[in-house]
Amino acid sequence: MYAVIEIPVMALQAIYRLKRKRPSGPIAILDETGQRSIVCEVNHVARGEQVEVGMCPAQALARCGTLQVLPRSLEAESTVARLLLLLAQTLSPRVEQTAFGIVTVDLRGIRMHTVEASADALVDRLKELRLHARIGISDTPEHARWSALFAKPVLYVQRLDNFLKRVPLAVAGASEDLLDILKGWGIHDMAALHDLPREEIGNRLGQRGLALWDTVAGRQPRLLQLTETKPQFRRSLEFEHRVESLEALLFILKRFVDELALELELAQSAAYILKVRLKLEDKSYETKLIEVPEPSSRARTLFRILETALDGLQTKDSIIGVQLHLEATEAHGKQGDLFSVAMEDPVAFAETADRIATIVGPGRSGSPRMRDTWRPDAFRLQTLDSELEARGESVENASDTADSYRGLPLSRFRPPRTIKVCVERSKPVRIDSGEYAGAIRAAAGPWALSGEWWEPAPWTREEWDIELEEGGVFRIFRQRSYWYLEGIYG
Amino acid sequence: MNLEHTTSPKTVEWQTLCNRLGVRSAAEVTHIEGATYPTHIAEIDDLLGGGLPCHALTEIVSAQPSSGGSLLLNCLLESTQKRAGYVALVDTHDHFAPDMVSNERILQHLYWVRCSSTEQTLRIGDILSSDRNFALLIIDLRQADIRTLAGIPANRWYRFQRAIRQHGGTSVALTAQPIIPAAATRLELRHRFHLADLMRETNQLATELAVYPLRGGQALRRLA
Repeated sequence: MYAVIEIPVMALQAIYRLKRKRPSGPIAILDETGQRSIVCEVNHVARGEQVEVGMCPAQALARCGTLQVLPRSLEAESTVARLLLLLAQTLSPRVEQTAFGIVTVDLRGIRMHTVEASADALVDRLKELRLHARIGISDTPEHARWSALFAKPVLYVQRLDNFLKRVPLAVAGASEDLLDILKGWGIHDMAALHDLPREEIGNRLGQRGLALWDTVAGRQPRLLQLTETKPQFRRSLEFEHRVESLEALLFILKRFVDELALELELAQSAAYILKVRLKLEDKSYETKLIEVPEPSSRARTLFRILETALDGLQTKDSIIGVQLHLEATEAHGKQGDLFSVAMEDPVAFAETADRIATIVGPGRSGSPRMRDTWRPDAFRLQTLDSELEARGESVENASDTADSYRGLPLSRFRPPRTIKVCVERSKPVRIDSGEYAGAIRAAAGPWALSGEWWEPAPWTREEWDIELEEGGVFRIFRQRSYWYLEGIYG
Repeated sequence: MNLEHTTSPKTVEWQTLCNRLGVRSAAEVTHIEGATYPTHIAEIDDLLGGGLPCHALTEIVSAQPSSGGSLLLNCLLESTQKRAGYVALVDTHDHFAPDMVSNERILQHLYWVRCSSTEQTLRIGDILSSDRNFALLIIDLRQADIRTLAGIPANRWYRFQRAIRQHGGTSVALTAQPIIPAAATRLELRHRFHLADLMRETNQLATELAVYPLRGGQALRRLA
């Protein structure tokens, strides 16, 4: 069993993928690679206006004044051909690149119901990549190729005799004179040829006739010339016009990410770094390295990270080219630990953290950790771990410590507020901080604290806990003869 | 008598439309509102029938200094660790003291955002309300300027409440005055702690939190 996947009007489709909005109306693709420029593909609207393949641009425009003539992009077509090859390998590793935009897959040994479902899924994936394909499945590569011509979008030939009645002889690839002879005999379709005795065909038409008959009957399926693909985690594009908006840049990057995600999937890898290199109009380059918090091969996830990282991007000049390169690592399946604490979606959190850091600034968000010092309020912020240790142990320890913990938590003022304090007999009796003022009902202290005397900036302070007559428990301290309100307990 | 329940085509169409628009029936809303987030503070859990209402915004007012707002905040952090979840704290004027938690392991579960304005707090709150990683979102507005808070349009709070409901989290806003119109439940802390309490065990102090319902909750329904 073989499958042929074909992308019809490939040059047109490759061009459509480059456009944000699919062009409408009569369109012709102009091939300028030869000595003279000719139309190499036309859409159905242009065909309706009598524009044909092989015409020169002047002839085509003479037939249709509203014709849009677009240059052929070999680079875009190569990308499409590669995507097709990569996707075909999801069906089977035995794949032949039969022609540009046509691949043949050897499906022998694969269950048919699996193949049919996979073929439908493959068509859908190609649609996501903005490509329309048709797939023919049959006993031989040739029959599969012919069935692809009639597929809408998938055709599985189960009864060959019925199918051959639909296939004209012209698609068999026989020479013109041979076809003329057969037409003279009244043979127009392959079923009619197949009904003729093989020996009689051989007697009258020789080896060429026998070869054609064998192909139609599926007697000698040809061997596939298998194609090997190596993963490529890099895509680049030079723009025709300079890009000045992020939206336009993201459109291109979205396409790159979709393609590269496919490469990652087939290589069973996951990206952990995204490297975006922008070529600017003044010939300089700007590079942005984006770390993926949890290596991933999902296009949606990677694009979301890219989109967030590039939000608010400013370059010193217009962008004329872009390159996206992925650093890939082996994709590991991970089984969650029954007792560990893990985030539901670490990638989404990484995006959230990035957005928050953009708003509050660096060093203003994260998971706090205390520093190894007695200096009050000495902490650092670090990235919140997406996975924490076993729950049972942490809870047990938590309750042990919580039982022995004393006092009320403090709500700190950062920086501490300067206050006026009346002191009698070395004890504060009244404070005035503006918002909090009044006589002190009770005071506990002083507690002399100091530390880091070996550092250039040692610290020393005298702390008091006080309760005001009007209510409220506060922490105040004296440092170098100035009084400060450190916070409110409670 | 044999009663047969049949569904008319119009009812089916209506249900399909509701499903597409994400509209929930009263029964479904009641079911969702039944879920609670235990705080492990007996007073609050008893009052609210098991804990803070999930998928909703709870406002906790601590009008007076040393009425237990920070103590409650630390209890919520501890309860999140016990639930093996993550908690986000949006700190409007950077008042949280990480050295004051009873166990440093609690900090491993905490994502702390140190804001510098009320507007920043609201923006961060909007972002975090749609992140499914956090079981609890705490917004500390106790030191926020009351005039700025009063100037926030009600629809902004309702939008925030909708985001919480949609993403299935639990959210608590600590305020100095009742100010959030979209709060499904509003409690007030009325206990006044004293200097001598600094020498007592924190767990014991947590049992003395005096919580009064101002809106929502079983107790309020009982009072009505």
